[in-house]
Amino acid sequence: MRDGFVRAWYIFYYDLKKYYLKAPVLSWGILFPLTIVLVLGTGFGAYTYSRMIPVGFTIAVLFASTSIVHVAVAFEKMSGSINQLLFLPVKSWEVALAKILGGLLYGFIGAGLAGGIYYYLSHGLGFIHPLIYLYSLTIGSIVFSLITLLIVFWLDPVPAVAVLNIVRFTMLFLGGLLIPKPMIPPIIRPLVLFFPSVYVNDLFNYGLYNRYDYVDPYTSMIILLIYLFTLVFVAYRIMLRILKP
Amino acid sequence: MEPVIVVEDLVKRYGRVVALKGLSFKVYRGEIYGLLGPNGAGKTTTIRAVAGALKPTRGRVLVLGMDSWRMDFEVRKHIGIVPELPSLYNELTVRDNLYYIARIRGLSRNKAGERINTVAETLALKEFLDRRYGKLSKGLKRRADIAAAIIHDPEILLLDEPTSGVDPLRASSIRELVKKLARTGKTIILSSHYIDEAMNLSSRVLLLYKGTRVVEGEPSYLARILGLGKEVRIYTAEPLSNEQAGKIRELIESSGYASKIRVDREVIVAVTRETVGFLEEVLPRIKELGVKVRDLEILPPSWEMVFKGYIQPLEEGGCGPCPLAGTGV
Repeated sequence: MRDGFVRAWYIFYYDLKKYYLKAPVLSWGILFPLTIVLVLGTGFGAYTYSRMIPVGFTIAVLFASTSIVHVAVAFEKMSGSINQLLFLPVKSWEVALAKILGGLLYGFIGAGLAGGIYYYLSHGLGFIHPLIYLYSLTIGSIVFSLITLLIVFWLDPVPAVAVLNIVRFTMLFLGGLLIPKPMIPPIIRPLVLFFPSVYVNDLFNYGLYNRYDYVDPYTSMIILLIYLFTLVFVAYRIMLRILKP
Repeated sequence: MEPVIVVEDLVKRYGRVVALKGLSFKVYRGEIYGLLGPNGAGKTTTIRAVAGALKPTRGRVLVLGMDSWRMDFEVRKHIGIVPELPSLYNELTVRDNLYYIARIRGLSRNKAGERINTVAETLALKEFLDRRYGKLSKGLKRRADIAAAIIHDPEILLLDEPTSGVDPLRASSIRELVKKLARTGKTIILSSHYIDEAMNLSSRVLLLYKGTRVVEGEPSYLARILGLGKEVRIYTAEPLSNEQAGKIRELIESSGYASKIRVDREVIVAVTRETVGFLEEVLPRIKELGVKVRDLEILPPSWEMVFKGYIQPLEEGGCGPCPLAGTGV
């Protein structure tokens, strides 16, 4: 088991060396969410400042974690270097763990940058429940990473980008982020609850300001855990199709 | 002698496509075992199955007595693989690539450093260690791939088309390297669609066609059982006229010595199993037609001929020497 974690660490570490400055990671993972964070932070949009900040955090985590995981798998599929992993004594869970670690790290980087900006803009960061905030950041990054893993292992790299963007932008608009709850037609609201971003955002809201929009924090935490375990199962099965055909 | 690799009745199906149709063979310690066949023959699928990288639809592969699919993790510790396409990381230097693989394979930091120096020395890669893999030429990339495959000093090496796409000079140095590795006692499976390469390097060759074993044996045996003759090349001092060419072709055909004849403007090519008889009887009669002979060459059976003797009749719908009789192909 210890050796497995060491191998996962090396895959993760070299992924960072290989991919952390790749253009898609910088543009989609850092610049794009930061633009949104800035837009929200400087007062555009439909929310008040304190409403914008959790949304900014969620968007930063969503785009940062999905971008690095996407690049770290898609580039290897395109260059053929994924074959190395097929032939090395590496277990599939170690590969999955390494890729998720990348997503987690980038999720934290995204949240850190967003937090820095909001702190600088002096909108105040409540952190009423810091552990809930941390839980949302961690589980949110992992869930978004797993969704990406599922897509990039399932599809070829080019369609994977399209599907990933559809998923990300759908979450942006219908996942409880850019469109506030009162503006979403009641008929669509049940659909909104399908997106994990809703629960991540609600937990950020609760962690920072002790409030939520859709479901109470404990339900959100449980739902995110269900997402996590379901996605681990599904993404792992799809990974195996590539890594152990 | 105990075989190191045993492939038993291996079948691999991808949907409706059957890539391997009940393949069986054994590889013994220290030998270079060649997998030869045209594209789509099943060479890469076989290599992947041996490496435990794909699940057999039927049958099994034993590597050092372990089932390569069920115990893939253990099996991979003992093998090194050069995949069909260069597959190290373009973004990393050769040194980083080797270090990464060495660490994943469980070598300590010090041991990894030592091995990188050793394999770089063996493969003449030292001056390229700090270059990015993506910036290397194809020949150097292949050498780096081989370095990655032997970084942990494995007992078994699987080389999938190691010289594919490499210029002849570099290809030749890679072949020398394969021989060198074989001399160190490694068991090697070499897949190639280059006939000369597989035949000259391998101690035994398995000829594959559409996922089926066509014939297996020592390279010389393959040539012998086909009854292929030697190629006699007669170079003329002056270009032949059409009339002379026609007469020469007729003459050789009627002699019954040659199985294949080609008469060009300045060279007459005949494939014969009775070289002496051909030279004693046919050559003087060619000279009698007023042909001045500039030079003469007798070539051993080319592996191209061996290949054509087996594969071409199959592709044309016939059955040549019928090595596939009863296999259902």
